[in-house]
Amino acid sequence: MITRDRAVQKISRLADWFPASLKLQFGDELEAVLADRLSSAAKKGWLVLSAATLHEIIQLPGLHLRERAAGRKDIAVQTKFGNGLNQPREPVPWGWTLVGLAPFLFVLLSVLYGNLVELYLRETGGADALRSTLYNAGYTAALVLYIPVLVAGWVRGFPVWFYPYAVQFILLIAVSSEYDPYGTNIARLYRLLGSAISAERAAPGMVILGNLLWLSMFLIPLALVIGISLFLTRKDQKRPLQEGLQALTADLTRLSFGIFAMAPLFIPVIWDDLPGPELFKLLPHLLLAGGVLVYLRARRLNTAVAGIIAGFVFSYGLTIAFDQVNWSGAQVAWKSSTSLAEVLSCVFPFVLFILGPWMIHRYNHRRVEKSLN
Amino acid sequence: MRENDTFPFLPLREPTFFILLSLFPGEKHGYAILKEVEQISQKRVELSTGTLYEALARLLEQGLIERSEDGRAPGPGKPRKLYRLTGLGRRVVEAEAERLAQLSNAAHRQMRDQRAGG
Repeated sequence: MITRDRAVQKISRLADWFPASLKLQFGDELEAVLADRLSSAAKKGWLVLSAATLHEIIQLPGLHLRERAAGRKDIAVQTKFGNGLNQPREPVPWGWTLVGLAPFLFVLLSVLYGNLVELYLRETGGADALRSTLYNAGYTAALVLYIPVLVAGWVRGFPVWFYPYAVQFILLIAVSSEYDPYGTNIARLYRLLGSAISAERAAPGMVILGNLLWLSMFLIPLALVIGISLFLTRKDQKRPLQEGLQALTADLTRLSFGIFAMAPLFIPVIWDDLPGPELFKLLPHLLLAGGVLVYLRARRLNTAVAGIIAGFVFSYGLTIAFDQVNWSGAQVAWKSSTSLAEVLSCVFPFVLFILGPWMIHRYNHRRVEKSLN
Repeated sequence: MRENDTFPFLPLREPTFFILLSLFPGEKHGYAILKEVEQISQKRVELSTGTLYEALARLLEQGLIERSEDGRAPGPGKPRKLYRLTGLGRRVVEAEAERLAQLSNAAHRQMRDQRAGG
């Protein structure tokens, strides 16, 4: 049976839930005073201890709300002195910049790998089954590689380089349910690794108590990432989440960067079956990589966002132009030529999605500044 | 100027007044402030730990109290912090007490007159 002393010890950890500013300013003193207060209540019985605990808990939401309000005032003060809209930022160190760049180069390597597979099959006269196996091996390698990187990002508190991996991982898993270009050649293992869009078609889902859980297979790679991360951070599972949320709130353009990471995945789809020198097809990926470098190394937020927007516009501009100029109508039947207007109507929302978080970031700063004046 | 420097802080909210009042006799630890506030307010004000430290943070920032290490903390564990009124804090709590006294006197006078007239 739990003793009152043990209960006090446990409940005192409520101090972890106090607002970050108080924890920063007063440190262990908060927990010590809370423990004193609870110990004093515990001496009068369980009921008094429960009442004291409840009293502490119900004050927490108000404390957090007031801290947020105070935080906004601080941001406003910074904005007033010209720090807000184009605030200086620390460039991401080169080592981590390369980690952030890797998922963009990984797509480029995948394109090269695809070309090598086709070349090999042409030379050896390989069957579709072999093609399927080689492509699936590459796809599986991607998933297996991303899992430890995502876990490392989680443990380190969701740093900026985590975002492209997370977005590409979700997209890879989602696409896997539809990715079956050669009939039913995808082995069951690969289907199990991911199925989000059409669980019925690509992976049959899991039957629990007679109910088919459509998206259950989608959860397997995600569950691996979440499970391993929670296990590794078991001593303080809140820390990475709090750090990640704080960093994201301070710089919403991390979402822009994440969305930007979708861009390289669609380029091979547009280039697919178009004639032209293969190496030239790598150029859009290099332009995107240039955008990544600017984003991660820029010393100003506006420069960083301009970097990814420029990377996207140049890369997709080149891709679309090449598609329009080189489409001869002689390609495979399933792919039809698209009008420029159609292509642009798809690309434009993408630009908005990249710009969106940055615009919200700017709007927030301006709104706070206005309320100050 | 010195007489007017308390003006921006008045009136004080009830918990703030009691926290400052609890420090009037001398410096105290956080937990001692909690107990003292309960006692002098006759349990009308029972602060949670979070609310107390939120108030202490504000009072430190306003310069009404100051914080120091307790060099004489007995026993094992980390040294505790002591809180004490600054000169400004002392003047603010005195001014607030004076303001409340004037309000109270005015109310009593009015009620006494009312009773005498009735």
